[in-house]
Amino acid sequence: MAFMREEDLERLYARLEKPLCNVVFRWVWNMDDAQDVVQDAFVRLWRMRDRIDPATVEPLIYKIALNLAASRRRSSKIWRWISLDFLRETPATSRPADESLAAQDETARLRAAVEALPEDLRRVIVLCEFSELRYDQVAAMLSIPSGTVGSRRHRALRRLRQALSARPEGS
Amino acid sequence: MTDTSETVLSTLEPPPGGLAGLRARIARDARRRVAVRRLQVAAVATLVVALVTWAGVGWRGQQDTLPAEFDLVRMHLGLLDVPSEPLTIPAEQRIHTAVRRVPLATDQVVFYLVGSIQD
Repeated sequence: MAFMREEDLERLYARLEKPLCNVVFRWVWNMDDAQDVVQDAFVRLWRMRDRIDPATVEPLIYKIALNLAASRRRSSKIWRWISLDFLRETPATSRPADESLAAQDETARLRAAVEALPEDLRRVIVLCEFSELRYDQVAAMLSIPSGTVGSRRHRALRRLRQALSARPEGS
Repeated sequence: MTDTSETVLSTLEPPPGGLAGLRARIARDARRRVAVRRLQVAAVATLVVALVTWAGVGWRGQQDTLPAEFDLVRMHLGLLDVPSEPLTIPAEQRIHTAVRRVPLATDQVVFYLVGSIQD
């Protein structure tokens, strides 16, 4: 089923780049890396264009991107451990240089809260908030029932609220 | 979306030039795949040539280059007389005698074809 021409791919990219980057960002915590992962996902999608079902192309591209992001995150962790970078580095995010220290602190705390979520909750909350996929599509993508998507999203939000309410005074 | 998720998960803008980057990456990927395909074809062709060459050499190597009268298998089976003694050609006969060394795979054994050219 060779439905996908290059212009189809580009239209899809133009539409999904922002939500996909925002989803992937919550794994790699760097917008340049997130865009790199998203482009990599589209290249892989392009390679398999002859056997793509148009009805499922969006969940598919999210799935590819998430798997690539998780893989990059793992290799990044291993590399940091091997090179002992974790002993001297501060959290890497794509913050503008003029951002205030307070904002950096806030960003780091938010990142820590999301990082503290178990993988299954994080996938659900990030996909629900950014992917523009419906619940049933997220459910199909993660191979879980639709009801589980709702309950996991609810649990993830509750944990994030708890993490934020524990923020220090004056911040 | 709730207030909490809006706070925690604010939407970010991707860096500019994403589409151009994707186009360049797809073009690069296509070139790389063509190069890989050519390498694969070259590797397969080399392998085929090597196999054919090896098979040809091996087949020729199994050919018996000895004339029928030096058929070693037949000699071993007793179907052919084995030359028993080193041949000495008397000086007066040498002018009528042709001697040709038979090429063998080993230097340990030497065979000569000896024939009279008197007739």
